[in-house]
Amino acid sequence: MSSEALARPLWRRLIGFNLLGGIVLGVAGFYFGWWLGHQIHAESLDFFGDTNQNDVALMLGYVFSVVGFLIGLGFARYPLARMLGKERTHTENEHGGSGRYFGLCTDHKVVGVQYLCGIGLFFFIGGLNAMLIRAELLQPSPQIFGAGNYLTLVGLHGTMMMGIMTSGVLGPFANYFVPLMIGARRMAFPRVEAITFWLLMAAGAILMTTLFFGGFPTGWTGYAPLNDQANFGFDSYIFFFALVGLSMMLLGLNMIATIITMRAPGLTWSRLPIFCWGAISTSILMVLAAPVLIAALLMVGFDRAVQTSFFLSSAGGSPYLFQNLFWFFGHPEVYVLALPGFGIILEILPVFARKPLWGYRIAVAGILGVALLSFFVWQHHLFVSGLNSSLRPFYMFSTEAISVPTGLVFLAGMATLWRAKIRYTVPMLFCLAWFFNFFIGGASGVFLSDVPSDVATHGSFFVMAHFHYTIMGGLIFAFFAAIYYWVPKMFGVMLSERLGKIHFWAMFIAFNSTFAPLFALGLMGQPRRVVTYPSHLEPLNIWVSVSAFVLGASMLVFLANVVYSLVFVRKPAPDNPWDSRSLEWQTPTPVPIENFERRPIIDTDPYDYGVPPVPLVPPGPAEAPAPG
Amino acid sequence: MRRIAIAWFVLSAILTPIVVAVIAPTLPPGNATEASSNQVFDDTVLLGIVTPIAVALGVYFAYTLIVFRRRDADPAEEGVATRDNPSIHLPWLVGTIVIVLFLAIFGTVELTDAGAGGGQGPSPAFKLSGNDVMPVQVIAQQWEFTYRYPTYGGVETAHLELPVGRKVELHVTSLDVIHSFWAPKLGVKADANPGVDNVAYVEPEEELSFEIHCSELCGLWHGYMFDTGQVVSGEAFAEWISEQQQVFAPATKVLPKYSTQYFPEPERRGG
Amino acid sequence: MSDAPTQTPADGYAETPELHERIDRIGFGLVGGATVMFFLGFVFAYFYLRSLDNNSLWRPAGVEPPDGYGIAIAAALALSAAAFGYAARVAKRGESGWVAASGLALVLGLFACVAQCFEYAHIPFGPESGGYASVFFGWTALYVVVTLIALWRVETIFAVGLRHHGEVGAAVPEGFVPGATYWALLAAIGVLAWVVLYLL
Repeated sequence: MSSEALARPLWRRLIGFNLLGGIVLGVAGFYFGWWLGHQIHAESLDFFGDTNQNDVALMLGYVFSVVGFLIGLGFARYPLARMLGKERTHTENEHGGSGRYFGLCTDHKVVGVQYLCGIGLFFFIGGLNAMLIRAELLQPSPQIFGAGNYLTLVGLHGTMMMGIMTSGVLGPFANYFVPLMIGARRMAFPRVEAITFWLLMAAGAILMTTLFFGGFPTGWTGYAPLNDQANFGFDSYIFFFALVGLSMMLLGLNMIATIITMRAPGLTWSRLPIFCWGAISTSILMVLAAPVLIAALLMVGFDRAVQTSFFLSSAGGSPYLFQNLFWFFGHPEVYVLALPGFGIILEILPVFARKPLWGYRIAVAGILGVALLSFFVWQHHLFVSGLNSSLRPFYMFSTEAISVPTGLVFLAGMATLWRAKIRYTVPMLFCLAWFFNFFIGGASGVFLSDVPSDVATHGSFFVMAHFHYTIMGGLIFAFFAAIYYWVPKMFGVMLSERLGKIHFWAMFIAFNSTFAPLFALGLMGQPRRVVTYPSHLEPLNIWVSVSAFVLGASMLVFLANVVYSLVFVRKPAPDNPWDSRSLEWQTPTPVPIENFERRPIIDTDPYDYGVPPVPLVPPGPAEAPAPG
Repeated sequence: MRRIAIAWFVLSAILTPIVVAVIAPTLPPGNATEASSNQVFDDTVLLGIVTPIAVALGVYFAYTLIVFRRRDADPAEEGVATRDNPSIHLPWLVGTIVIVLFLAIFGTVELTDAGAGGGQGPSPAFKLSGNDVMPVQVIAQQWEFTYRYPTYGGVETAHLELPVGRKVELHVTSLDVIHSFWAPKLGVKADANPGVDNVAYVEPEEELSFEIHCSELCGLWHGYMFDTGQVVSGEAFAEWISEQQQVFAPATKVLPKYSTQYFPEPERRGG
Repeated sequence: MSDAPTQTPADGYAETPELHERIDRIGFGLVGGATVMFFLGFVFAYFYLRSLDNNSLWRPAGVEPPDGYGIAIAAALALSAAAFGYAARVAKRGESGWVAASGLALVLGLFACVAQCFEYAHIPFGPESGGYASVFFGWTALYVVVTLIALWRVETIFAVGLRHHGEVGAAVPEGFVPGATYWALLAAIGVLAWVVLYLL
């Protein structure tokens, strides 16, 4: 936006291709699709059925809503210009004020901040759902919401977290920092980068609209044929997850293409920051697994709207088809959540250990090995389903084999701490907690991968505790480590160290106090997603609920920290507050639009810390300045 | 490094027997059936492997985090710039691979014992040996379980009773959505899929009453889909089943013929 | 609208056509992988449901799509891919004639989509007729959607050709060869659909 444009009155600046226009066209598109669906329904196509729940109308409403939203944001102009034979461009709306954050902007730094705020919003909505779930479970019989609303809450919490948080690290941090780390000026596909964010926001809004249509009773897995029977609100689950899948796929594609093609001269594969390896392996999973999810969800949509029978066994389909397709996506999906965490931990650890990353090659091998193996384990979700009982030994083995590459990542992280000079900053505390949580998550995973043990715990709170330890203890702790570590660069403001430490200790203790007892509850026979439970389990459930409320309160400490530090104190961050050698910290704060004045030439990896290993000699001064 | 090794050795020498001998035997699901005692045995072995590993990590982190912390306020102080030590890679890899191979082989051996109580589908890979196996069909529907005894005239009962010491072949199926038949104390879990016969084996070894839960989300009243079953003596079972046959005789006549799978009309949703 | 390009060759950030070509190649490669995985879901559904034949309703008698449509669609897709591939090769050699060839590819691709929609109106069974019918309708309908999106790319190339028609030394559009390769892959999936759904 030019200064001339800024001089216009506010109301004039609000009109145009921006979030407001997107919302207006999105709502208009929804009603258009709704109307169209009822037209189709009323006239010729009788076989669509005759209940008063017109799925065709709702689905068309969502389709046109998303299209309208994107047009309103300005995503249609460039493709249309290309259809007229105009030149290719790579930037749009990069210059301007805060208005850039509310519309299509191809600056990867703007997109990163957009992602952080947008994902933060949905993360807190999902967390609020968890609080409501635990409030309901304070008593053995339902007192607050009742069975139907309780299931909707469970579904919303799970779907929100598994959907939106897949991009929780790659969205904000990889979009912002991968170009800086590799010395690039832009991502490979800047418009694709922008559209992934807005697709995710459209998806989140669509999921919330399920509350107007009666919610959905299926949880985040949406198993067939319950999904066929589920009421109207399930359509929003379909569209939510399909849009998330599309966004994930495009995000991963962009990330891979960027890291392969845009690296600065001298940045060989063996000098690439480990975070980029985490991003690239996650992206491979996203590109290859997300399309399968989209296909499975569209099949569900067809089953619901046009009476196909992909998943109806009495009409020639099979529910196993859905389980296979869903978990073929679903297991890579959980590594999509875990692998960026690996990258962040190994990236941050050397900075605060003041040591090079130990065993860079085996760490990379570990990350890629986990990514590769994750495609061959999906049937461990079906150990009691009655499917392929003769293949169970194989899936048991492949699942347990994942602990070999994971062990390499642990080895790299642990050996990095050996003979270090550890600085206990807030990001470092979150990193160290990650090891604790992820080990418990991984060790409980060994029990679940063992079929006899799994028979006792499958579908119980034990599984729930296991994946909260790996995903919340793994991803969310890494997510907060990344926030505390990188916010000084992103916003130019230091977060309060004291509040950060209070947040960390409250979160770490409350997290363990919440989820460790769930292992016991699962073994004692409490299935997942139940609104009632045997009364002898009440004391433990109350303990868990109270701990969960403390966990929720620790998030409020974080919010207070953000408001206090970013709004009131505004302590300006130096360019490199952590004394890091990584390329992204060598830029000025705030990062200029062009990122670098000159293209950096890389001659070493970013972990050039420490003094040479000469024993019994006092440590010398810092090493030579970092590359770039 | 030696101090860590000694601390690890001492601690795991103390903790592992405690975990294996004291804590593990108290674990659910108990020893009421062959399958459930197998599960407890599996958990015991796994705990015996996991405990020393956990102790090793705990000791290592406790040592490094205390000894290698930055002691003074000199912000420029750096660690030792060791980048790698390839001589650790191979032992580490071999160690983890050996543990994984052991776990896989051990799990497979345990699994071959009649599928460890898990649902194995229409053609079980790991059968229960013996001829006098009693088939019982578990029929799940929203939101209750019913049970059919094909060897007793196909009678369908509202509760599950099993004779003690008898080998039982559970045929779990569903009439609508996916449920999961879970009797924790029996050590049995098998998903109930519409149109699928999911076989699980159980051999109750003592008389008890046990809880039954549905452990796969099946719609609105999923949380209420639970029941209590009994394992009783052979005579008590014979008495109970003949009583059931009499009580349900009018219903048995109109039931569809016993089959391992049922295909009700597809539940189509309106468009 | 679009900002002017900010980079100048002096700072080492000049973006060469080779870089753009490389980005396009990787981008189309990844989109191709994703597309294959997407339709693999339907291929799996086809063979899985066929092997189960639940309730004997995989393919009741009379569920036969008209062969003529199948052949017409598959042939149009194959010819379209061939035309576009020819256009890319010609353009790479710097010869003329690629504009007409890519226009032909566009028309043939659109014809395949329209023919598919016509087939739906003249088919003797509906989507409710069992497992095969489900896979048939799901696969072909989504194939039309993906094809229409891919045709956008064909159209942009054609449009660049039309816009610069007759100009001497007009630049060949970027990403022509990777785009043609992707279009060939998509057409191959279309032909595969014909083999699986009509012939098997």
